[in-house]
Amino acid sequence: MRVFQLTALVAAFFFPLCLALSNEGLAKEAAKGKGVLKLTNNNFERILKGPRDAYLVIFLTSTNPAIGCTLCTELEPEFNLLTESWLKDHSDGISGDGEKALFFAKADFDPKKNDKVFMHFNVNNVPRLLFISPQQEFGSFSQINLPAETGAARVVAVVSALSDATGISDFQIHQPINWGSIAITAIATAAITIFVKKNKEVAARLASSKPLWGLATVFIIILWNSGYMFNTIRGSQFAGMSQNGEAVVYFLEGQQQNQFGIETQIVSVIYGILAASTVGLITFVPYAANFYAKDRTGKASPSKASFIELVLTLCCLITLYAIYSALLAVFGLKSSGYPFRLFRLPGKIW
Amino acid sequence: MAQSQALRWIQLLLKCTIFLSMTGAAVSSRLFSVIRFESIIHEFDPWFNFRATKYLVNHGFYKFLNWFDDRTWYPLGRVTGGTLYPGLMATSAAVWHGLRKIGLPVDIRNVCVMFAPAFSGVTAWATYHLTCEIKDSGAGLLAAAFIAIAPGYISRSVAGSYDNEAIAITLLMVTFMFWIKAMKTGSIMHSTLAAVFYFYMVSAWGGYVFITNLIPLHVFILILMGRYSTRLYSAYTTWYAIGTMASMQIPFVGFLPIRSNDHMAALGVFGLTQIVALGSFIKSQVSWAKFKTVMVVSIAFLLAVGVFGLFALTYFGYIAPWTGRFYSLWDTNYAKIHIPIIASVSEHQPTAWPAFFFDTQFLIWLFPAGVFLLFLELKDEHVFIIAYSVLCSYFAGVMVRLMLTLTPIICVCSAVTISKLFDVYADFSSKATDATVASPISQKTRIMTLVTKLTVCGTFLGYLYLFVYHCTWVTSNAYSSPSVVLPSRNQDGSPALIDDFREAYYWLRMNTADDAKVASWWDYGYQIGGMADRTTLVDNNTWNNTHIAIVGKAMSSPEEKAYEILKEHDVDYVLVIFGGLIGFSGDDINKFLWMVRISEGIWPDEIKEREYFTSSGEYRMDEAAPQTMKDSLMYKLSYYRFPSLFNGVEGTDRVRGQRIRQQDVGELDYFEEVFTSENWIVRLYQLKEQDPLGRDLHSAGEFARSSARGFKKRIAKKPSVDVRV
Repeated sequence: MRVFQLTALVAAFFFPLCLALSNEGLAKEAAKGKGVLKLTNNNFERILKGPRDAYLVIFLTSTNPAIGCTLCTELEPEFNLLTESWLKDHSDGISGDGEKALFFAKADFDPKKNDKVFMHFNVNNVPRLLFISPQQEFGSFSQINLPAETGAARVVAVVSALSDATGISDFQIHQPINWGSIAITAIATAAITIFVKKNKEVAARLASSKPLWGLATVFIIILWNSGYMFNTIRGSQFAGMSQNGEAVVYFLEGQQQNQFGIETQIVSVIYGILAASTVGLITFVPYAANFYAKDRTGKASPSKASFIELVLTLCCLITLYAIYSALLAVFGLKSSGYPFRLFRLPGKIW
Repeated sequence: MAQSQALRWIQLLLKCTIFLSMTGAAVSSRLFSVIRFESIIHEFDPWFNFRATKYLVNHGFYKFLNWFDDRTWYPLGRVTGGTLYPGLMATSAAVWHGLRKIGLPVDIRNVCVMFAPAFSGVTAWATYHLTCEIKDSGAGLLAAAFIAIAPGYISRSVAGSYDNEAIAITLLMVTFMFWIKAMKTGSIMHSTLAAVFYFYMVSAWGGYVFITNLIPLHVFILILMGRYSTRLYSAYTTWYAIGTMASMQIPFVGFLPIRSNDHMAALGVFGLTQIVALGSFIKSQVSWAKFKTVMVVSIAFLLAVGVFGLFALTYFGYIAPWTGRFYSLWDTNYAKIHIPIIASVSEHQPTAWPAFFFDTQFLIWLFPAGVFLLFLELKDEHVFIIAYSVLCSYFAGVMVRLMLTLTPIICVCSAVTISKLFDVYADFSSKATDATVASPISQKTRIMTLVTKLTVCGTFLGYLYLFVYHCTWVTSNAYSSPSVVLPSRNQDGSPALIDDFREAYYWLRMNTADDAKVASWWDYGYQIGGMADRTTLVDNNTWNNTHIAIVGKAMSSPEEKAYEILKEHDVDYVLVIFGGLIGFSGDDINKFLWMVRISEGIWPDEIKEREYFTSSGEYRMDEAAPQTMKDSLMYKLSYYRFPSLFNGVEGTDRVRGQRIRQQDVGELDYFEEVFTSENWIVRLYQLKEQDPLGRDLHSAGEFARSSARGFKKRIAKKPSVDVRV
């Protein structure tokens, strides 16, 4: 009698585990894929079919470059950060108080191996972050919204959404330390310190060199004036693709309040050349003319000087004209209806 | 002697003529809007300034300073006298009184409309003197001409744009001009004048913090470069003492100069100059070795005390931390996360490169050249210009509106470049001394030199000429629309005006009770106050985020809930701006997401931005729109009766290019349409009274519809739906 009772109890206790995976089972399954369950056509029903004690977060993505999902590639490291942070504190997938369990699953689209997973969730665009709680029946799920921020900010938002949904309070994000960058900074600092110590005079001359400071200042001014801050704040795309996906597009045409990242580079180079030619006209040309005003014997040679002056001036002016007309043409791309051009290419409308 | 006297007179005469024509150009290019439209106040903020000016003129200065405005921010009200910068209003009231005194009774509106163009002339004059200090009068004239017509400055100073910035840029340039003069000479008179104009600036614009930080920065850099002098000491200490004391007289500023972190740099540098002064005194008394130890010890001590003190005072709350707007300049994500209301304003967006070129054309590439040329000389005053250039380039990159403060320095630096260029190449006087001493110069050489000079001058004159055309084009096309009246064209191409705003505001003024409360999104608060003279819930002052969120919540909630919220706030009318009929893209549906976002910030449980998007994340108004969107008050009020203009089933929204279905819009039970303007831009609804039988309004509406079915069809006023471009 007693033996029968005990057997019944044990059977009742283990019965659900025979049908579905326990937390340990999930953890074992996850260990195969570095802590993340890899969903395939073969295993997804076994993993998802309850009853189950654990919460599941399922990431459906497609990093295959042929599919060309930029957001997927963007999300890849963020999802890794998310899972690694969780696993660092909870290698068995169970929260600190021992009550809740959370596992991450992932399916990177592959028509041969896991197309049924995507069909099961009825997904027609990726990436998707899905959430299944233990109570939910097989086939029902909810979606976690992907916030518009990028990088760590998005991970933080997802973590707070997860904490709200599961009631897990000890989900902390562990940013991986970027040893490479630290090493580079340390080595660079050391190298500069040693250089300064060894060549005090050179360093002092460099530090008090007006043109050097001037160049540095002018460099950042040009960068800021050509929309660098716009790129950093908005996180602009570097360049675009044309409609048919064949050619690279460098300029967001007709959009004065928007730009690609590469536009800043193009425009700052243009500004740099224009400013340099102007400065050249003002400082370098008179200097060169003065330099050639006397030949080696010390005799005045005004004709040579004025010839040099003329050639250099013309060089500067032609550069100015060419680059400035390019600038106007580029601006015409951005501002449709801008009427002023310095030069029109024959046959082309801009 | 007599000859040089005559020369001087001719120079003076020329200068006067140049200045007169420059002022003429500056004023006349700002008059496009008056000539095309009429003498009207523009946009949003100017309407408040105009209303405040009228109050000042009618009630006097003391009443103005104690003005408690119970017609805005209902039911809170606004301590307007203590929360505005009175400089602008005081100046135009003074002008108005002055004109009356000399027998020219001008309408206060005309004074306000013409205020900005008039002051642009003064800006040109101040820029001239500033640039004279930097280089010479040739560069000065060029800089003045540039600033007179540069679109970056015109954008905020066309006729009718009666805003604080209109006077602030003038004061900025005057203050800097006096500062440079003071710093060069150490003259107490000049630094006092700089302080007085600084005070004027504080009274006129919140951007005075820029001066408060730039002048100390200049002094600090000079000290770092080892260029401390007694001139600098007397100039800075005079300016700081008088300027700070004076600025504290403005009620809105009050004790900020000694309590807010924005002002701490000025105080710190003031302390530093004292220490440096003491140090240089000691240095003149003791030996170098002794001085070195004194210096090291005292610097370490002072740094420790200073940093620790600043932290401690901030921690204990004696010094206010940085204000949100200031902070968002440095941490560019700060506003987006913490203060959506700042991020929602379009002029706080970062600047893409075309805006720089659009506003300054070829000055934008002469500007870095000028900065570099100044570096080669690097006198004390050049350090100021360089610091200003770097700081403002950054600020202008972060916020579009700060293009305004960058433009003057771009003009100054480019003028320096052009003037240096002309110094080299526009000097056609033959060097007589050279010719006699050196070997005779051949004809060929002479021609080559001449050709060089002529080509350079010709090219740059051509560019300058193009610049003038560019400025005129930009001013006329981009910066001369009052945005209260919209330009458009009839079908036959003849020009027409869309005057819906004034039509609706005038309707409000004439047909509603004097104490009626109007709920609308904050953008229109000042205009309703100024043109319709009715009480508003929120306005462009945006000092109370929660109050704005209440309106946002009402707009994003379903009809019934919105009715409750609005009734709680005693609202009589709701005003929405709808551009779907004629394609006016700045309407409330396009601003709707900000309403949702701002109210989500206060009630994250009730309003969720995500629910206003389709499942694929699109912002849509047609049948694919999510139910939350279709239920929201904003959707209902915008599209109510809209499909009936077409075939009664579907209407096409011209802004979003989507089809709006009648079954989604449905009927209104809690609100009643009272007015819709000619082109449907402004729509006004009245909140219905409670049902006399005690039913809730929805079931009352259902009942009325079921009993009236088949009896009568409402005849709606239909405007012509022809496309206007």
